[in-house]
Amino acid sequence: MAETILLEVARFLPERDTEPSYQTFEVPLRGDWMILDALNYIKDQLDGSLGFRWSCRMGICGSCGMMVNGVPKLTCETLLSTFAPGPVRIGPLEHFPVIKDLVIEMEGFLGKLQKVQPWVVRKDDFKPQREFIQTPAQLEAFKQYTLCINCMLCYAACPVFGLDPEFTGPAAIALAERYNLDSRDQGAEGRTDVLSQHDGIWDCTVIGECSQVCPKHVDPSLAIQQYKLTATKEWFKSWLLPWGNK
Amino acid sequence: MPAHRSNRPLGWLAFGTGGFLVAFLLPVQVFLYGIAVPLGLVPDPGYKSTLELLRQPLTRIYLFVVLAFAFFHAAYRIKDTLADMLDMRKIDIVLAYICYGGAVVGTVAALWLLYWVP
Amino acid sequence: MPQYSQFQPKPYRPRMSAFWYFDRWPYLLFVLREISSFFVAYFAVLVLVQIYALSADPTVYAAFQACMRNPLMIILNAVTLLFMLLHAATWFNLVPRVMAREMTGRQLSDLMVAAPNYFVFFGASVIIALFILRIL
Repeated sequence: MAETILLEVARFLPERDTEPSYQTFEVPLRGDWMILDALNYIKDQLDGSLGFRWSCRMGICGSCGMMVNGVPKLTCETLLSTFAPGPVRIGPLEHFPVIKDLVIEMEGFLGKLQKVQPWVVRKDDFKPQREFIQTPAQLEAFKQYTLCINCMLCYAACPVFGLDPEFTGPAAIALAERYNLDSRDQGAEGRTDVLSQHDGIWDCTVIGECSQVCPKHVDPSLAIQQYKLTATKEWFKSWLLPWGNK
Repeated sequence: MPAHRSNRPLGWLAFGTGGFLVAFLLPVQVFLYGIAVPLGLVPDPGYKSTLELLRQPLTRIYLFVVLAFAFFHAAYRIKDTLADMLDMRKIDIVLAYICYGGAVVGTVAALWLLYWVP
Repeated sequence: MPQYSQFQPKPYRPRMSAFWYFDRWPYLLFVLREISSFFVAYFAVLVLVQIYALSADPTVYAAFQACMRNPLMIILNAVTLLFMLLHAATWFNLVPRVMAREMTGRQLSDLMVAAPNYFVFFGASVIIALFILRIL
């Protein structure tokens, strides 16, 4: 074994510990290794009890998000060698409850996701006889937001979510906007009730780190500000034209 | 209209408008009146000439709009900043009353002062 | 609640540090940007004082100007200027993107959206300066 690098990995065993601590491992520094490869090396060779989530190891399943030196990253596409000579500090995604080691509790996120109804909602009894025609411009309006892989890096980068766990958060709002902007969707009104509240878009103070850390360049920050504009228009409409909304 | 919806759009719109006005218009005023004139970097136009400028109705309307929006812009941000930095989200509503109360006082003062310019 | 959850281990719930904005540079920049609002409020009050001094009489205005020549006031105003420029730069880079997307329905390049703001900023500053210095 030629060169090595030190990895400080967060350990937390809920039956034993009250808070996480960091354990140092020495792993080979290989040019073609991602952080995830190093973690798998630890699990296979050094300590089989290390717990972490991963699946596709090609940046699309969104399960291997962790804090790498304090920045949320998909560990499967973060090169280990860029952190040489080390040490590298690996922790669970910030602001989430920790179940074990690097594994976080994501029920809260999934609940928020469900609340914004991230699917095509139709009010009419729409039974298409053929494919739904959408122009390139209509597709362009929401396409960027479809790229979200629910990896929750944006939540880990969001201090507002850290301060207020009830905040609907970047990914859920971006996905709500993805369906609001979709020409096939008619569910914008139902989502407004969730998004227009204090816990929704108005909690956001435009720090913008969600968009910086997004591995898919979704730009949730833009989605939230855009929705603030929409909500403001709706608010004025409901005051000026009270008879407009049934 | 659903009653539970936030009324923040109004504050946000004032914040946004104020943000633009402050960004575009105020820095030059800070530089000239706050730094350049006191340091003598530029010739001081003097009392009479400056009062002459302030007497123009357009100047007064301009100053009122800029100051009022600047106050409401600042109120929105100060409230959020205090809530986030000092972890005062629980008393959010109290902060809102204090900050927006200040903005209303500032706006009324601006209106009063600009109306009574000799 | 199922019965076994009584024995289920409790997850660790992290608490955010009160000084979270020192953790990373982008957060510090964000907080500095937000702090600019205190200086905006300060300067708006200062303008009110100036209007009051101008409306009163030349001696009051002279006292106001003497106060403005105080080195501490000049330092305070220089800091105010820096914070306002930080506000302006962050605002120009961020806010028009939202409006551009709203109006065109497409994502434009950041440079294309931000650049016109700087031209407007310089144009407006020059015009206002000419008025303040009584050249116009």
